[in-house]
Amino acid sequence: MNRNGKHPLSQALFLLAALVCHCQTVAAQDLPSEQSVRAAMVFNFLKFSDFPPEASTSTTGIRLCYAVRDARQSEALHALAGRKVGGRKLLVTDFTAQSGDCQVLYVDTRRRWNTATEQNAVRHALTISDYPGFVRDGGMIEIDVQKDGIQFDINLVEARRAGFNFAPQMLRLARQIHE
Amino acid sequence: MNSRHRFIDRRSIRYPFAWLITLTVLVSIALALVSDALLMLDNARTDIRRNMTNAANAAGAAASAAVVFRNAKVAREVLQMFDAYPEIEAAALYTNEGVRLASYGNDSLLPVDAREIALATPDIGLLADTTILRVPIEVDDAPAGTVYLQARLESYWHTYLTSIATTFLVGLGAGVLALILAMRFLNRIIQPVRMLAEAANDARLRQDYIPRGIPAADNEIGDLVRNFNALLAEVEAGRKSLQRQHDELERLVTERTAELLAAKEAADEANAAKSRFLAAASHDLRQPIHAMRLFQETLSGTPLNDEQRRITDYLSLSTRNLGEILNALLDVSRLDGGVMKPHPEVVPAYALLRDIEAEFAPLALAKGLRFKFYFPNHELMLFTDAKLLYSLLRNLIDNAIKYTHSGGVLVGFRRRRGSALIQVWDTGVGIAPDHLDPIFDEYFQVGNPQRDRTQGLGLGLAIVKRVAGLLGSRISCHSRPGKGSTFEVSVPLADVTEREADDHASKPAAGIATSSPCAGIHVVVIEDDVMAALALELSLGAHGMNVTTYPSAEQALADTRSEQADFYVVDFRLPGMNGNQFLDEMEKRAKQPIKAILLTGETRQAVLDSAPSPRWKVLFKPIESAALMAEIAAQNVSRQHEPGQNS
Repeated sequence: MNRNGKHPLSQALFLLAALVCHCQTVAAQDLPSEQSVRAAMVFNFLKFSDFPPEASTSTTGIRLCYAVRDARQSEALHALAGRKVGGRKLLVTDFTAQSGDCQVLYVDTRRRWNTATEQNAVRHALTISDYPGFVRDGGMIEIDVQKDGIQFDINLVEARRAGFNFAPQMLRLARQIHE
Repeated sequence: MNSRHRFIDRRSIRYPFAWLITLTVLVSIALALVSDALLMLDNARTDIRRNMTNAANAAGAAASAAVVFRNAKVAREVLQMFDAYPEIEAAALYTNEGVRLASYGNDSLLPVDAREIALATPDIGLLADTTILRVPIEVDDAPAGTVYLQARLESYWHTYLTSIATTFLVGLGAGVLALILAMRFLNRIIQPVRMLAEAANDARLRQDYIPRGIPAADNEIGDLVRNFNALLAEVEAGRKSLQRQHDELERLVTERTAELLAAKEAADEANAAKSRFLAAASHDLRQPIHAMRLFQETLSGTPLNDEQRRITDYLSLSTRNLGEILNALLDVSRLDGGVMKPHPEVVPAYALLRDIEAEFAPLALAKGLRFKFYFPNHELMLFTDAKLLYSLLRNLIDNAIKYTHSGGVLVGFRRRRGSALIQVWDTGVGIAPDHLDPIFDEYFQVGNPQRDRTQGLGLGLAIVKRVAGLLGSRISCHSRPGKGSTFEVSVPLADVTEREADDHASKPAAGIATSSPCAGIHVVVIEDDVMAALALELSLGAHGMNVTTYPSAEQALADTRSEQADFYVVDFRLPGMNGNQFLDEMEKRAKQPIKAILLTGETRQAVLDSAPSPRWKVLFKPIESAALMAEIAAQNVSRQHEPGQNS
């Protein structure tokens, strides 16, 4: 417990959610959901990521595709739509329903990851997930929500292969970096 | 005088010069310090803000991800970079919501919530202890958090003050250097000027105008030195020339003086010899003359026939003449010989006049001449040698009677400017203007070409001139040929007479004119009787009036100056136009009423018969001077003489 009598994790989650939701009047007892936290993390990763040149020059925005079962998760991700990253609008779509390329892909399970990789559309996307072992499976950023905070691992090899770079400040925060 | 003393000599031009430089340096230093302080303060503030902002920005950039991801650990690690900034005593990272994520340094100095931090960065006061800075953290152009710093400023102020002190010391050093150099340079001017001053003083004191060997540089000071030496050379040349001329003049003067002295000695010797000769000769001649007189008187006492008596009378006359001539010669010789010395004493004028009257009245009467005196009412006391004055007057009166054949002689005494003016008037033959000086020479006689010795030797006036000189006066003569002459001489008054005269000054008597109310007015007198005219002139003149006399009305009318007179005193009976007619005519010319008195010796009836209702005041002769003065004074103060008013 800190000086204010709150758990550090819950405080962090609250802050993250506030950042994502622009909620000025969020009550202290309204803790954000994990889904919102994950969505906030995804959004923050995008802020500290350099997209490959082809993706950077696209004028249609950044397409964030998700392949999740949890409707609340998809809802939280949809809440990111319209936000700007690097001056480009974020477009959030269901991976299964989209027809174009995705610049960012969020999956929640290995099965959906495997399904996505079979389709070449994710070949040039920034891949994020929170299932354990995602980085081993070839994913780029693996989120790990723990009691004492949110950690993440980065697969720098895959990221570079796809043409992505991450800001040093973000790399510094990573628990593990696979190079 | 040593050089140090000379350096601080207040008289020296160095003194104001040193003051000027010192003041200039001090003012410059002060201005430099002030401007420096202000500029450097600004720079220091800028440096402080820039350094702090750079540090904050660096921390913010490094911790941006940590702040966004709320990674307090990494955020703390980032803040450790402030170890490289010893002046930063506290720092913190705040999330966008204002929550403090990580801190550095003294926690107590940090606000818990970023919202406690004021939006505006405070000004950095001079020599302020600390300052704070708040810098936003932005990620992708959107605010992500805040960096907050608090820093101590001693090191900055230390640098600041050191810089100012350096400026001051450098300025002071430069000023002192400038002062020293200026003083040394000033020597180049002062030294030659001082040498010039000393040389000039030396030249003046020793009267030595030889050019001085003062070093002369090739500049304005050197020009001054060269010109000074050239001036000295000119002065010396001029002085030498002047000295030569002076010596020559001295020589000439000495020569001439010697010549004059010799001539004077010769003349004096000749004069003395002459006088001694005359004295001896006169004295030697006196004896036989005395014998002659005795013989003549004895002979006269014997029985003589008519022819013999006539011859004896002539002999007597000749003997007397011879005696007089010899006496005159003796007087002259004694006067020239310096034998006669005046012995002044208080002499009453009346006494003198009595003696003169006793001696000369009979002589004048014998010639049918009038012999009159004019003198003031009060006694005049003279301070003179009575005998000498008497002999002077005797000669004058004797001459006057001798050369007057009709009319008379008037002897007048009156005061004039603290002295007694003695005048002898006559209505005699007069003296031509070119004889007025020679008549005082020895043996000069007017009207005796055949040198008739019964007329005297011509020494009288020569004696008069010498006696006047002895009495401390000069004899002067005014004359009109055919009309008469006036001789006058001044004699000092005794002091007691002056005081009495002042006491009696208020009395309007003839001869006292110092405080007359009519003093200064111009009076025209028309009187054909010469003596009467003279008496009027003297009487009116004694009251301070300016008198012009005419013997006839026609002559007065012919002179335009008579029209400007303030008063007219006119005799009624005149040769041509009578007095009344004259006054009428004069009033017509003046075009305004005139003031006048008619004098007449006739009866009232005779006057009235001649001029019915004369408009002027008539006074009947003999006229008292007081009455005349009173009437003049009365008319002088009144506005207008009314017609038809008679006395």
